[in-house]
Amino acid sequence: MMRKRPVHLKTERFLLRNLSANDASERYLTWAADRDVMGPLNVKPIRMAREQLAAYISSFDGMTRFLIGIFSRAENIHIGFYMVEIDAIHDVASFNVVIGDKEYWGKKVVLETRPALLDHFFDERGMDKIIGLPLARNIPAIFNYKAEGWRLEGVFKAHRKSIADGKRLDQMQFAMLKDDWRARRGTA
Amino acid sequence: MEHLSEARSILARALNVSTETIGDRASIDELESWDSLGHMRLVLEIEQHLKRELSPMEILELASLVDVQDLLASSNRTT
Repeated sequence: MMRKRPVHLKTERFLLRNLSANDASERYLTWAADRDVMGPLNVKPIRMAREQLAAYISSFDGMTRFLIGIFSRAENIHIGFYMVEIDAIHDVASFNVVIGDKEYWGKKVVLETRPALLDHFFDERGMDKIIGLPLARNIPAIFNYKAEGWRLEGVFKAHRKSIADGKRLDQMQFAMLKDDWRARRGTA
Repeated sequence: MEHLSEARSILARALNVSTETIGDRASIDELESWDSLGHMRLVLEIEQHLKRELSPMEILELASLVDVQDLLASSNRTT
């Protein structure tokens, strides 16, 4: 039986933990409205009210759907988040990540934090496979998948429609298998 | 050696470093400045140079100076 257990992970520079309605801050609201932040995800920027954002955060149950904040430990500020969805029948999870604070772009946040999440979802949540589905033009995301050794499983041609101009967009699927990750971590 | 100097200049501009710091074996693993934003700038620089959009596989396979050189050379042969 699936139990609700919070995620709470520390890396050298960052803290990862479940977001709650209290984390619906002005900072977070500006990311949702920022084309530069949301554009690479093909999500339409929207100006939300704080209550709307709080309700959205609360919609994640922490069992099969997680919204996990990334916090700078040095500055004690919220800089981004992971969205993780679990297919509990097949033990497959999908990861999405947004670094909202542009000061942290190009600072290897994902390369430092995602390994901790991979460890957690493989070892503590029993996942056998984790996938990521970036748009083919989300170049920083593709760089990070490659740098971490994820396997490209395929390119879906014209799989999405651009929210900006309606053009068809290619999407890629990367995957990490539990055994491959353990081999990379030297814990096989 | 064809396109090596061009490739080095493009990589240096993208990573915002001098060409002298980019050795013949420069790669993602070796260059600290080759991060996710650097990779994005590199793709945009190459696309501007070739006047075409790179394919997803071309973007994925770019991991060294030699890869940039090979891409410029192969694009040159097909245009």
